Amino acid sequence: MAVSDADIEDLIARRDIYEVLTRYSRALDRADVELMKTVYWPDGIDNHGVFNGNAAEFAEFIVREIQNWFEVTMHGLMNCHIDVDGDFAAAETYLFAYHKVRAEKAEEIFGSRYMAMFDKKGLDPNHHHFYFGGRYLDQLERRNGEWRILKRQVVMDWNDNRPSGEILDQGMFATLEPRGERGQGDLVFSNTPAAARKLEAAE
Amino acid sequence: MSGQDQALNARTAALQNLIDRRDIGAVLTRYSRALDRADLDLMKSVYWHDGVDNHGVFNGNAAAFCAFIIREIQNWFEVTTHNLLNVRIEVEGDHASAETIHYAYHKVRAEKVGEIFGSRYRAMFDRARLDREHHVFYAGARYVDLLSRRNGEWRILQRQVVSDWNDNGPSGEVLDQGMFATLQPRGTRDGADLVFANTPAEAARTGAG
Repeated sequence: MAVSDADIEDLIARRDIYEVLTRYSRALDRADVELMKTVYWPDGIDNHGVFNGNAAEFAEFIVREIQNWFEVTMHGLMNCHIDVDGDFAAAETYLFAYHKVRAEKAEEIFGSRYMAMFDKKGLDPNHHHFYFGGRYLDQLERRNGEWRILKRQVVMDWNDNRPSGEILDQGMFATLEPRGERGQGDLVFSNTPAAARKLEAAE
Repeated sequence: MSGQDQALNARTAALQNLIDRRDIGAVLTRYSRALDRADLDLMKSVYWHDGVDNHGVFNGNAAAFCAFIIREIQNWFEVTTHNLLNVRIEVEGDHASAETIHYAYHKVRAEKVGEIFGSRYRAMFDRARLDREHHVFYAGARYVDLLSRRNGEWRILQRQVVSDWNDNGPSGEVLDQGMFATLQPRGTRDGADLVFANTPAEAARTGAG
Protein backbone atom coordinates (compact mmCIF):
# COMPACT_ATOMS: atom_id res chain seq x y z
CA MET A 1 0.00 0.00 0.00
CA ALA A 2 1.52 3.29 -1.11
CA VAL A 3 1.95 6.13 1.35
CA SER A 4 0.83 9.34 -0.33
CA ASP A 5 2.23 12.81 0.32
CA ALA A 6 -1.28 13.79 1.39
CA ASP A 7 -1.22 11.12 4.14
CA ILE A 8 2.11 12.41 5.42
CA GLU A 9 0.91 16.02 5.30
CA ASP A 10 -2.15 15.01 7.30
CA LEU A 11 -0.05 13.24 9.97
CA ILE A 12 2.25 16.26 10.28
CA ALA A 13 -0.72 18.63 10.61
CA ARG A 14 -2.22 16.45 13.36
CA ARG A 15 1.11 16.31 15.21
CA ASP A 16 1.48 20.09 15.03
CA ILE A 17 -2.13 20.79 16.06
CA TYR A 18 -1.87 18.41 19.04
CA GLU A 19 1.30 20.26 20.06
CA VAL A 20 -0.66 23.55 20.06
CA LEU A 21 -3.46 22.00 22.15
CA THR A 22 -1.12 20.61 24.82
CA ARG A 23 0.95 23.83 24.81
CA TYR A 24 -2.21 25.62 26.01
CA SER A 25 -2.45 23.29 29.04
CA ARG A 26 1.21 23.79 29.87
CA ALA A 27 0.88 27.57 29.61
CA LEU A 28 -2.21 27.61 31.83
CA ASP A 29 -1.03 25.18 34.52
CA ARG A 30 2.44 26.76 34.70
CA ALA A 31 0.92 30.29 34.43
CA ASP A 32 3.05 31.34 31.46
CA VAL A 33 1.24 34.18 29.69
CA GLU A 34 3.77 34.57 26.84
CA LEU A 35 3.57 30.85 26.06
CA MET A 36 -0.22 31.02 26.12
CA LYS A 37 -0.28 33.86 23.57
CA THR A 38 1.64 31.63 21.11
CA VAL A 39 -1.33 29.27 21.00
CA TYR A 40 -3.62 31.79 19.23
CA TRP A 41 -3.36 34.05 16.19
CA PRO A 42 -3.30 37.78 17.15
CA ASP A 43 -6.86 38.11 15.85
CA GLY A 44 -7.93 34.92 17.63
CA ILE A 45 -11.04 34.65 19.80
CA ASP A 46 -11.61 32.63 22.96
CA ASN A 47 -15.18 32.17 24.19
CA HIS A 48 -14.51 30.61 27.57
CA GLY A 49 -17.76 31.63 29.30
CA VAL A 50 -15.85 33.26 32.16
CA PHE A 51 -14.33 35.50 29.45
CA ASN A 52 -15.40 35.94 25.82
CA GLY A 53 -13.36 37.93 23.36
CA ASN A 54 -9.89 38.58 21.98
CA ALA A 55 -7.51 35.71 22.69
CA ALA A 56 -4.52 37.83 23.78
CA GLU A 57 -6.77 39.62 26.29
CA PHE A 58 -8.12 36.25 27.41
CA ALA A 59 -4.54 35.03 27.95
CA GLU A 60 -3.74 38.06 30.16
CA PHE A 61 -7.02 37.64 32.06
CA ILE A 62 -6.86 33.91 32.67
CA VAL A 63 -3.18 33.62 33.57
CA ARG A 64 -3.72 36.37 36.19
CA GLU A 65 -7.01 35.04 37.55
CA ILE A 66 -6.07 31.37 37.61
CA GLN A 67 -3.39 32.27 40.16
CA ASN A 68 -5.88 34.33 42.20
CA TRP A 69 -8.53 31.63 42.21
CA PHE A 70 -6.62 28.35 42.43
CA GLU A 71 -3.60 26.95 44.24
CA VAL A 72 -3.15 24.17 41.68
CA THR A 73 -4.75 23.30 38.35
CA MET A 74 -4.34 20.43 35.92
CA HIS A 75 -5.88 20.66 32.46
CA GLY A 76 -5.83 17.10 31.15
CA LEU A 77 -6.66 16.45 27.51
CA MET A 78 -8.21 13.16 26.50
CA ASN A 79 -10.08 12.34 23.25
CA CYS A 80 -8.72 14.54 20.49
CA HIS A 81 -10.67 14.51 17.25
CA ILE A 82 -9.02 16.57 14.50
CA ASP A 83 -10.24 17.24 10.94
CA VAL A 84 -7.79 18.92 8.56
CA ASP A 85 -8.76 20.51 5.26
CA GLY A 86 -5.87 22.38 3.61
CA ASP A 87 -4.82 25.33 5.77
CA PHE A 88 -7.83 25.05 8.05
CA ALA A 89 -8.71 22.55 10.74
CA ALA A 90 -11.36 21.83 13.34
CA ALA A 91 -10.67 20.02 16.61
CA GLU A 92 -12.78 18.68 19.45
CA THR A 93 -10.75 17.85 22.55
CA TYR A 94 -12.14 16.42 25.79
CA LEU A 95 -10.94 18.23 28.89
CA PHE A 96 -10.71 16.75 32.36
CA ALA A 97 -9.50 19.43 34.72
CA TYR A 98 -8.70 19.63 38.44
CA HIS A 99 -8.79 22.93 40.34
CA LYS A 100 -7.81 23.40 43.99
CA VAL A 101 -9.62 26.56 45.06
CA ARG A 102 -7.91 29.07 47.36
CA ALA A 103 -9.66 29.12 50.76
CA GLU A 104 -10.59 32.81 50.48
CA LYS A 105 -12.06 32.32 46.99
CA ALA A 106 -14.37 29.41 47.78
CA GLU A 107 -17.53 31.53 48.08
CA GLU A 108 -16.76 33.41 44.85
CA ILE A 109 -16.13 30.18 42.93
CA PHE A 110 -18.81 27.89 44.34
CA GLY A 111 -21.52 30.31 45.51
CA SER A 112 -23.46 30.49 48.78
CA ARG A 113 -25.63 27.36 48.42
CA TYR A 114 -22.57 25.14 48.14
CA MET A 115 -20.73 26.86 51.01
CA ALA A 116 -23.73 26.52 53.35
CA MET A 117 -23.46 22.73 53.11
CA PHE A 118 -20.22 22.48 55.11
CA ASP A 119 -19.48 22.60 58.81
CA LYS A 120 -15.71 23.27 58.56
CA LYS A 121 -14.80 19.76 59.65
CA GLY A 122 -12.84 17.12 57.81
CA LEU A 123 -9.41 16.50 56.35
CA ASP A 124 -8.77 20.02 55.10
CA PRO A 125 -11.83 22.06 56.04
CA ASN A 126 -10.77 25.26 54.31
CA HIS A 127 -10.06 23.84 50.88
CA HIS A 128 -12.41 22.66 48.17
CA HIS A 129 -11.69 21.48 44.68
CA PHE A 130 -13.62 20.98 41.53
CA TYR A 131 -13.36 18.65 38.60
CA PHE A 132 -14.51 19.96 35.25
CA GLY A 133 -15.52 17.90 32.25
CA GLY A 134 -15.90 19.75 29.00
CA ARG A 135 -14.70 20.12 25.45
CA TYR A 136 -12.57 22.57 23.56
CA LEU A 137 -14.11 23.22 20.14
CA ASP A 138 -11.36 24.85 18.12
CA GLN A 139 -10.99 26.32 14.68
CA LEU A 140 -7.36 26.53 13.57
CA GLU A 141 -5.51 28.05 10.65
CA ARG A 142 -2.04 27.41 9.22
CA ARG A 143 -0.18 30.61 8.34
CA ASN A 144 3.40 30.44 6.99
CA GLY A 145 3.54 26.77 7.99
CA GLU A 146 2.44 27.33 11.60
CA TRP A 147 -0.84 26.17 13.12
CA ARG A 148 -2.56 28.30 15.75
CA ILE A 149 -6.09 28.71 17.09
CA LEU A 150 -8.39 31.17 15.33
CA LYS A 151 -11.37 30.58 17.57
CA ARG A 152 -11.88 28.50 20.70
CA GLN A 153 -15.27 27.73 22.21
CA VAL A 154 -15.38 25.96 25.57
CA VAL A 155 -18.38 23.68 26.08
CA MET A 156 -19.11 22.55 29.65
CA ASP A 157 -20.52 19.05 30.05
CA TRP A 158 -20.29 18.62 33.84
CA ASN A 159 -18.57 19.73 37.02
CA ASP A 160 -18.10 18.09 40.40
CA ASN A 161 -17.30 20.09 43.54
CA ARG A 162 -16.05 18.73 46.87
CA PRO A 163 -14.15 19.42 50.05
CA SER A 164 -10.49 18.77 49.29
CA GLY A 165 -9.34 15.23 50.05
CA GLU A 166 -5.72 16.18 49.66
CA ILE A 167 -2.92 14.96 51.92
CA LEU A 168 0.52 16.45 51.41
CA ASP A 169 2.43 15.84 54.65
CA GLN A 170 1.51 12.32 55.85
CA GLY A 171 1.60 8.70 54.71
CA MET A 172 2.89 7.91 51.25
CA PHE A 173 2.09 11.44 50.11
CA ALA A 174 4.86 12.94 52.25
CA THR A 175 7.36 11.15 49.94
CA LEU A 176 5.91 12.50 46.71
CA GLU A 177 8.46 15.18 45.88
CA PRO A 178 8.99 17.30 43.90
CA ARG A 179 5.66 19.04 43.40
CA GLY A 180 4.57 20.98 40.37
CA GLU A 181 5.16 24.73 40.33
CA ARG A 182 3.98 27.75 38.43
CA GLY A 183 6.73 29.59 36.58
CA GLN A 184 10.05 28.46 35.25
CA GLY A 185 11.02 26.56 38.42
CA ASP A 186 8.93 23.55 37.39
CA LEU A 187 11.16 20.63 36.42
CA VAL A 188 9.64 20.38 32.96
CA PHE A 189 11.47 23.46 31.74
CA SER A 190 14.91 21.88 32.09
CA ASN A 191 13.72 18.56 30.61
CA THR A 192 15.04 18.69 27.03
CA PRO A 193 16.55 16.31 24.46
CA ALA A 194 19.89 18.07 25.16
CA ALA A 195 19.58 17.04 28.83
CA ALA A 196 19.06 13.43 27.70
CA ARG A 197 22.17 13.61 25.50
CA LYS A 198 24.22 15.03 28.37
CA LEU A 199 22.95 12.39 30.81
CA GLU A 200 23.77 9.55 28.43
CA ALA A 201 27.25 10.97 27.71
CA ALA A 202 27.95 11.11 31.46
CA GLU A 203 27.32 7.39 31.87
CA MET B 1 21.38 19.21 -3.68
CA SER B 2 18.50 19.41 -6.14
CA GLY B 3 15.08 20.66 -5.10
CA GLN B 4 13.76 17.15 -5.51
CA ASP B 5 16.44 15.71 -3.18
CA GLN B 6 15.67 18.40 -0.60
CA ALA B 7 11.96 17.56 -0.72
CA LEU B 8 12.80 13.86 -0.32
CA ASN B 9 15.06 14.59 2.67
CA ALA B 10 12.40 16.74 4.31
CA ARG B 11 9.86 13.96 3.82
CA THR B 12 12.21 11.37 5.31
CA ALA B 13 12.94 13.61 8.32
CA ALA B 14 9.23 14.24 8.88
CA LEU B 15 8.45 10.53 8.73
CA GLN B 16 11.33 9.74 11.12
CA ASN B 17 9.94 12.25 13.63
CA LEU B 18 6.44 10.75 13.40
CA ILE B 19 7.84 7.24 13.84
CA ASP B 20 9.95 8.34 16.84
CA ARG B 21 6.87 9.88 18.48
CA ARG B 22 4.88 6.71 17.86
CA ASP B 23 7.61 4.54 19.37
CA ILE B 24 8.07 6.82 22.39
CA GLY B 25 4.29 6.89 22.89
CA ALA B 26 4.31 3.09 22.96
CA VAL B 27 7.04 3.10 25.65
CA LEU B 28 4.96 5.47 27.78
CA THR B 29 1.76 3.40 27.56
CA ARG B 30 3.71 0.14 28.03
CA TYR B 31 4.70 1.45 31.46
CA SER B 32 1.03 1.85 32.45
CA ARG B 33 0.18 -1.63 31.21
CA ALA B 34 3.11 -3.13 33.10
CA LEU B 35 2.18 -1.34 36.33
CA ASP B 36 -1.57 -1.93 36.26
CA ARG B 37 -1.18 -5.59 35.24
CA ALA B 38 1.79 -6.03 37.65
CA ASP B 39 4.10 -7.37 34.93
CA LEU B 40 7.68 -6.97 36.15
CA ASP B 41 9.48 -8.09 32.98
CA LEU B 42 7.34 -5.81 30.82
CA MET B 43 8.10 -2.89 33.11
CA LYS B 44 11.85 -3.49 32.93
CA SER B 45 11.60 -3.24 29.13
CA VAL B 46 10.53 0.41 29.50
CA TYR B 47 13.92 1.57 30.87
CA TRP B 48 17.56 1.18 29.87
CA HIS B 49 19.45 -1.06 32.32
CA ASP B 50 21.31 2.02 33.60
CA GLY B 51 18.08 4.05 33.78
CA VAL B 52 16.93 5.99 36.83
CA ASP B 53 13.44 6.52 38.24
CA ASN B 54 12.89 9.28 40.80
CA HIS B 55 9.36 8.49 41.87
CA GLY B 56 9.42 10.15 45.31
CA VAL B 57 8.35 6.92 47.01
CA PHE B 58 11.51 5.37 45.47
CA ASN B 59 14.50 7.13 43.90
CA GLY B 60 17.25 5.22 42.12
CA ASN B 61 18.06 2.52 39.58
CA ALA B 62 15.12 1.77 37.33
CA ALA B 63 15.39 -2.05 37.50
CA ALA B 64 15.42 -1.83 41.31
CA PHE B 65 12.42 0.53 41.10
CA CYS B 66 10.55 -1.98 38.92
CA ALA B 67 11.10 -4.79 41.44
CA PHE B 68 10.05 -2.48 44.29
CA ILE B 69 6.93 -1.00 42.70
CA ILE B 70 5.55 -4.21 41.18
CA ARG B 71 5.80 -5.86 44.61
CA GLU B 72 4.46 -2.91 46.59
CA ILE B 73 1.67 -1.90 44.24
CA GLN B 74 0.13 -5.32 44.88
CA ASN B 75 0.65 -4.97 48.63
CA TRP B 76 -0.82 -1.47 48.80
CA PHE B 77 -3.62 -1.47 46.23
CA GLU B 78 -6.34 -3.83 45.02
CA VAL B 79 -6.70 -2.00 41.72
CA THR B 80 -4.87 0.79 39.93
CA THR B 81 -5.26 2.55 36.59
CA HIS B 82 -2.57 4.90 35.34
CA ASN B 83 -4.15 7.01 32.61
CA LEU B 84 -1.97 9.10 30.38
CA LEU B 85 -3.38 12.40 29.14
CA ASN B 86 -1.43 15.24 27.48
CA VAL B 87 1.79 13.87 25.93
CA ARG B 88 4.43 16.37 24.84
CA ILE B 89 7.47 14.86 23.12
CA GLU B 90 10.56 16.56 21.69
CA VAL B 91 13.03 14.56 19.63
CA GLU B 92 16.58 15.50 18.59
CA GLY B 93 18.41 12.67 16.86
CA ASP B 94 18.82 9.78 19.31
CA HIS B 95 17.60 11.76 22.33
CA ALA B 96 14.20 12.90 23.44
CA SER B 97 12.32 14.50 26.30
CA ALA B 98 8.69 13.94 27.20
CA GLU B 99 6.17 15.39 29.63
CA THR B 100 3.04 13.29 30.15
CA ILE B 101 0.16 14.23 32.41
CA HIS B 102 -0.95 11.26 34.45
CA TYR B 103 -4.27 10.82 36.21
CA ALA B 104 -4.41 7.67 38.31
CA TYR B 105 -6.92 5.75 40.45
CA HIS B 106 -5.78 3.62 43.39
CA LYS B 107 -8.03 1.40 45.52
CA VAL B 108 -6.17 0.97 48.80
CA ARG B 109 -6.22 -2.35 50.67
CA ALA B 110 -8.16 -1.96 53.95
CA GLU B 111 -5.12 -2.88 56.08
CA LYS B 112 -2.92 -0.28 54.37
CA VAL B 113 -5.06 2.81 55.02
CA GLY B 114 -2.82 4.10 57.82
CA GLU B 115 0.38 3.51 55.89
CA ILE B 116 -0.83 5.18 52.71
CA PHE B 117 -2.93 8.04 54.06
CA GLY B 118 -1.33 8.67 57.47
CA SER B 119 -2.74 9.01 60.96
CA ARG B 120 -4.79 12.19 60.48
CA TYR B 121 -6.86 10.61 57.71
CA ARG B 122 -7.24 7.33 59.61
CA ALA B 123 -8.52 9.14 62.72
CA MET B 124 -11.45 10.55 60.71
CA PHE B 125 -13.03 7.13 60.36
CA ASP B 126 -14.49 4.65 62.78
CA ARG B 127 -12.05 1.78 63.41
CA ALA B 128 -14.65 -0.93 62.75
CA ARG B 129 -15.61 0.75 59.49
CA LEU B 130 -11.98 0.95 58.42
CA ASP B 131 -11.71 -2.83 58.61
CA ARG B 132 -14.51 -3.41 56.12
CA GLU B 133 -14.48 -0.32 53.96
CA HIS B 134 -12.16 0.69 51.20
CA HIS B 135 -10.57 4.00 50.51
CA VAL B 136 -9.35 5.35 47.22
CA PHE B 137 -7.09 8.05 45.98
CA TYR B 138 -6.81 9.85 42.72
CA ALA B 139 -3.47 11.39 41.85
CA GLY B 140 -2.62 14.05 39.30
CA ALA B 141 1.03 14.12 38.36
CA ARG B 142 3.40 14.40 35.43
CA TYR B 143 6.00 11.99 34.14
CA VAL B 144 9.01 14.10 33.13
CA ASP B 145 11.18 11.76 31.06
CA LEU B 146 14.49 11.72 29.24
CA LEU B 147 14.81 8.99 26.61
CA SER B 148 17.47 7.70 24.26
CA ARG B 149 17.55 5.44 21.22
CA ARG B 150 20.06 2.61 21.24
CA ASN B 151 20.21 0.16 18.32
CA GLY B 152 16.94 1.55 16.99
CA GLU B 153 15.00 1.16 20.24
CA TRP B 154 13.68 3.97 22.43
CA ARG B 155 13.66 3.54 26.23
CA ILE B 156 13.67 5.79 29.28
CA LEU B 157 17.03 7.00 30.64
CA GLN B 158 15.55 9.01 33.50
CA ARG B 159 12.04 9.46 34.83
CA GLN B 160 11.13 12.18 37.31
CA VAL B 161 7.61 12.14 38.73
CA VAL B 162 6.26 15.60 39.55
CA SER B 163 3.20 15.51 41.82
CA ASP B 164 0.51 18.12 41.25
CA TRP B 165 -2.41 17.01 43.44
CA ASN B 166 -4.16 14.09 45.12
CA ASP B 167 -7.72 13.43 46.27
CA ASN B 168 -8.50 10.84 48.95
CA GLY B 169 -11.76 9.48 50.27
CA PRO B 170 -13.91 6.46 51.10
CA SER B 171 -14.55 4.23 48.11
CA GLY B 172 -17.89 4.71 46.40
CA GLU B 173 -17.50 1.42 44.54
CA VAL B 174 -20.37 -1.00 43.97
CA LEU B 175 -19.45 -4.38 42.49
CA ASP B 176 -22.24 -6.81 43.27
CA GLN B 177 -25.49 -4.86 42.87
CA GLY B 178 -27.40 -2.84 40.33
CA MET B 179 -25.88 -2.25 36.92
CA PHE B 180 -22.41 -2.95 38.29
CA ALA B 181 -23.18 -6.62 38.87
CA THR B 182 -23.40 -7.00 35.10
CA LEU B 183 -20.04 -5.36 34.39
CA GLN B 184 -17.93 -8.43 33.68
CA PRO B 185 -15.16 -9.26 33.17
CA ARG B 186 -13.00 -7.27 35.53
CA GLY B 187 -9.35 -6.39 35.10
CA THR B 188 -6.79 -8.72 36.68
CA ARG B 189 -3.08 -8.75 37.49
CA ASP B 190 -2.33 -12.42 36.99
CA GLY B 191 -1.55 -12.45 33.27
CA ALA B 192 -5.10 -13.65 32.60
CA ASP B 193 -6.37 -10.14 31.87
CA LEU B 194 -8.19 -10.15 28.54
CA VAL B 195 -5.76 -7.68 27.02
CA PHE B 196 -3.04 -10.29 26.70
CA ALA B 197 -5.13 -12.38 24.30
CA ASN B 198 -6.26 -9.31 22.37
CA THR B 199 -3.93 -9.41 19.36
CA PRO B 200 -4.07 -8.78 15.60
CA ALA B 201 -3.88 -12.58 15.15
CA GLU B 202 -7.01 -12.89 17.30
CA ALA B 203 -8.72 -10.26 15.08
CA ALA B 204 -7.81 -12.37 12.03
CA ARG B 205 -9.33 -15.48 13.67
CA THR B 206 -12.48 -13.50 14.56
CA GLY B 207 -12.65 -12.21 10.97
CA ALA B 208 -12.25 -15.73 9.55
CA GLY B 209 -15.33 -16.65 11.58
